[in-house]
Amino acid sequence: MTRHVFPATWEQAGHAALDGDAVVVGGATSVQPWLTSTGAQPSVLVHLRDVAGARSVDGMAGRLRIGAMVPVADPALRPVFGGTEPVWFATPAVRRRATVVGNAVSPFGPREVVPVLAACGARLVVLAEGGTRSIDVTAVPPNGLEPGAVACAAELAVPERIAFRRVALRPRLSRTEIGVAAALGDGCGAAISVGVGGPTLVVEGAAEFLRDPAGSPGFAAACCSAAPDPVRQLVGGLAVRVHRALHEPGGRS
Amino acid sequence: MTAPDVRAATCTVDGRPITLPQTGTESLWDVLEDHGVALPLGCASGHCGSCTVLLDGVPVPSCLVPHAEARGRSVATVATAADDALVAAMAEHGAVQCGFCSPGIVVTLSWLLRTTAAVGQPITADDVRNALTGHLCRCTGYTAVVQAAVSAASKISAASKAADR
Repeated sequence: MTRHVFPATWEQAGHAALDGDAVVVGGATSVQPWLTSTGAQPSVLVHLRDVAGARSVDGMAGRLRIGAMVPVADPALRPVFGGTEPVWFATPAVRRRATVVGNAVSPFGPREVVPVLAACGARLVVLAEGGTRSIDVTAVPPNGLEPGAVACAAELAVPERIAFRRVALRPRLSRTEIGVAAALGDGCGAAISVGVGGPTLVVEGAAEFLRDPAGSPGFAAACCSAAPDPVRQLVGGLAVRVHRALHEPGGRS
Repeated sequence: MTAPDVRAATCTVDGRPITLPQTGTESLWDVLEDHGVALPLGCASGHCGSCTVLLDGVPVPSCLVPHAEARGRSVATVATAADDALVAAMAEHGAVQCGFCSPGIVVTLSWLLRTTAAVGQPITADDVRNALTGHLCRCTGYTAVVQAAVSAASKISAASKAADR
């Protein structure tokens, strides 16, 4: 039977996560549906809710450190989502529980926040058997972190401006099919996501076009070169809208 | 009321202490059902909102919560979380048809009224529609639900202002 542990420190959490096929639980909004729908019985669920510092958001010198239990709806994260709650992400109730870090590493569902985090140059602080390391938010394998690893926090730049445009079945309650995110600020850039649950790709060389109000064609070309063939036109169109939103926030985008 | 103990795997449901399982992967909804607390379950994946409860005062679909996450916490179902003014307004506006989604909707909108209208903040139809995102209703078309919530909000705000005078 699946046991439940409630570590109080990251060291305890890392130790517990080494136990067999342990599953780490943050907000649980993707873990519990997975347990329910598959009947999976992992040896232990490691609940992070009581880990000291896991719920904190610390800002310093234009950067944010987001603890592993900080939910997507946390008001302190509004600058990362363009000043509002990300209404494109699930439902209000889910946003109040789903965690940013958990979403970024979850093997159970699409990592909806990753394009936005990647545009802010986010890196994850990962505790594993060999110690603590920092990895790019886009570098998490599709099946999640390796056994025994726990994502403790995300560190990212606070953008001066940020825009995210996506193709989805509906504006809300639909997952992102194609997404383009870009941000202005030190350490920021752009990223595209392709396919529900698909990879998020960092757009190399985007920063120079993002700063330039006339850089829309160059930015679109950079995004297109990062995108797979079948979706290049869509990505290019989204990139133009994103660039326009960064420079003409009152305009149509 | 005695505070629930995390290690003893207990929580309170509508003020009543209950024992949670020490092991297993059941959701909070499963455990509530085992204790005779009947809540509708639609999708079991957090999309439909029919099984919504308050967990430490905040709405959440109980199907999304591992039972162990409720340790040491208070759970309120529609039985204790419902706002009387909202329930009356829903009846008045015909905002209930088959009723399957109603418990979850009532929990969420009662929370909205308590956290906004009751403290003097206005509630618009858009606020209500936003709160209803994640509550699927196949019967009403939502219009009557939104009207009922706005109506209840104005009554609550008026009562709150009168009490302040």
